[in-house]
Formats: sequence, structure tokens, C-alpha cells
Amino acid sequence: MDRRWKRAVWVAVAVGAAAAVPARATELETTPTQLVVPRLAVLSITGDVSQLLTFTQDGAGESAYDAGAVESAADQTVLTLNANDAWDLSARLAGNWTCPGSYNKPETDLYIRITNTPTGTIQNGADAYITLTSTDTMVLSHDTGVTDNEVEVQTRIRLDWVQDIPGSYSIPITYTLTVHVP
Amino acid sequence: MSRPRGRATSPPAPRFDDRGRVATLDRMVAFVPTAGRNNRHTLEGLMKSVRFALVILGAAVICLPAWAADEFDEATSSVGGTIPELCQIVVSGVGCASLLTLTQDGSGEVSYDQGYVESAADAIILTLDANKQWQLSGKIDTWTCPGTYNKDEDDLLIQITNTPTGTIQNSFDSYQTLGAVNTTMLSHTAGVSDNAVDVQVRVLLDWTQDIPGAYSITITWTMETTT
Repeated sequence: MDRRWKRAVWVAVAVGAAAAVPARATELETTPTQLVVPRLAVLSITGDVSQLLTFTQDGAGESAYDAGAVESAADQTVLTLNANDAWDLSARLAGNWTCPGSYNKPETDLYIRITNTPTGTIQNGADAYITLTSTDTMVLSHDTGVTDNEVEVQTRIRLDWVQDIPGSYSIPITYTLTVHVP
Repeated sequence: MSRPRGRATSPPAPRFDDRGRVATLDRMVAFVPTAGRNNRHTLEGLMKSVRFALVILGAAVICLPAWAADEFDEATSSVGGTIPELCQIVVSGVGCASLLTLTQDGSGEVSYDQGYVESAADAIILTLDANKQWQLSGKIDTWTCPGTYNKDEDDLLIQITNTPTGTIQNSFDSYQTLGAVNTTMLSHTAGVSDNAVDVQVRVLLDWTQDIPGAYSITITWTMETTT
């Protein structure tokens, strides 16, 4: 066989072998992912002021009446705020005083104030004692989100020897964290 | 009034649904005067577009509020407690500890002559606070006397000289003796604040009984809340 023919045969064999090997397949797919993150707000509260008026006789009780008021510790109530957009913090009385007998203690005997410097802008003079009503009073606001923003709240209750008779008292304060359009 | 002329007067044969009614699209085609076979495709396309738009709008309605709505969280704290019955009494004034410290050739003889020595009208000031109805009482122990002398406890008299809040009890707006047990002097049906009670003290003196020496007696004031 001629050398040329041999070469041609070998080339043909090589080409045939190459054609017999399956081509490697590659396919790319994409999955469109869309996350819709809503506005989120989480408000947690720690601290207990439910026994602020539970006095001892011959001691703190008389002193508090003489002083005209009893105060919690400056950080006895701690609000922790988490928000992913602009927010404001409000407070309101969720009810009136529950009093002994027929006594009706004025709701304006209760005061709160923010005692630390949390992230945000103090509203309505809430860094000094303010009274609350049954509608929300904004006490703090901020135009972006925050994480673990601690707000320390001090509570004060006025006392009067003549008015504030012995017995059980309670009043609920509701704090509201609202996340909104900046 | 003549009806508008057009191909609507000779529409294509309508299709019927399973209830025998003319299919919706065909009704529309039949109703539109200019509708016809050519326009039918246009209407079908239009309806597809409307359906697509409705799907997009629905998805937007579902998703949009979740992103755009305000969110809030609330927490409630209860403020309160149980106030116990509270009262307090504070004693002030010049007092009477030296009431029997008499001067010779002066107040001593005068006092014996008149049969007593007495304090200023407000020598003892009792300031009372209570958060409910209350009463004020007084009692005494026994005289400490010089030697073996035993001065009569009834030689000590007290009276309330002002008009404090409350009701005088047992005529203590004039001089009365006290005993070893509490005698109510003043009471009130509600709380009080800074209620000042002025008390005057008188000690009877007798030239023949009350020998020279140091005398003392303790008056105990008691304020208590009552039911």
C-alpha cells in the first residue's frame, strides 16, 4: 500500500474515533430569586415596676409620702428596639388606675422619662418626666433602622398622704414601636 | 332611526357553549358592529393582554403591602403595687425636759405659789401624717423622783392648744391626765399631711410634797391608723 494511502487510512481512523467519543454537555440554568423584605419591628421590655407602690411600713413608705412621690430606678424599665426602617417609639396608658375602693387616682400622677441616651431623637421632652394619656405620645424617633437600641425608662408616681389610701394600685403602660416610611 | 350598517348584520356563525349560549367572545364579536373575523384575533389578543395585566396587578397587590406597610410591635408594662397603711408622728418644739428646773428667788416660788408650772402652749408640737383614718393617743410611765418620794402621776396634765385637723377626744382641748395605757386625744376619718398638734404641759406643785431634786416622767405619743 502506498505510504499516502496508509496515512489517509490512519487519519480516517483517528477522525472516526474522535467522532465516536460523545461530546461533553454543558447547560446553565438560572433561577431568579426575589426577596420581598417587609418593614419589621421588634420591641422587647424588661424590668418590673408592678410593685413600685409596695412599701415597707416605718421606712420607705413614709419617706415616699413625705417626698411626695416614689421613683423607680433610672433603668428599672428597659425597652430594646429593633427596626429595619425609620421608626418611632410611643407610649400610652392602656387603662386607668385600678384603685382600692372607690378612689380614683389621677392618671396624671404617673410620669415616665428616658434616662439614657439611646439612638434616636427625644420627642415631646421625654428626657424629663412627662405624663401620658390614653393616646400615643411619641417619646423617641429615628430615621433609619436600629438594632438592640436600649431605651431606659424611669417611672415616678406622685403620692399624697390625704388622697392615696392604702390598697392595691395598678395602671398599664403600653409602649409601641412603629416602623414606617422615612 | 336606522341601525348602523356593517358586517354585524351578517356575523360569522356563533359558537355555542355547553349550555347552548353563545360563547362570550362571540357575543362580543356579534355585538360590536365592526367586529368580524379579522377583528376577532384583535379581541382575543386584547383579552390575553388584559388577563396578563390582571395577573401582574394581582401579584403586585399581594406583594406590595407586605413591603410598603408600616409595621409595629407593642409591649405593656404594669405599674403599681400595694400601699400599706402608713402613719408617722414627729415630735418637735422646745419640749418640757426642763420644765421643773426652776429658778430660786423667782419662777420657783411663783410656781409653787400658783400650784403648778406649765410650758408654752406649743412647747410640744406633734406633726402627724397618715394615709387613712387615724387616732392620736398618749400615755405616761411613772415619775422618777428624788429619794423615796413618789410623785403622783396625776400631777402631770396635758392639753391640745390649737385646732388641728381631726376631732378632739376625751376633752383634751383642756387639761387632762394620762394613764399608763393609751388615752385617745385626737382622731380623724381620713388621711392627713403635716397635721400639727400643739401640746401644752402642766405639772402640779405642792410646797409640802414636792421636795427639791430631779424629776422626770416620759410621755409616749402613739398615732395609729384605724378601721
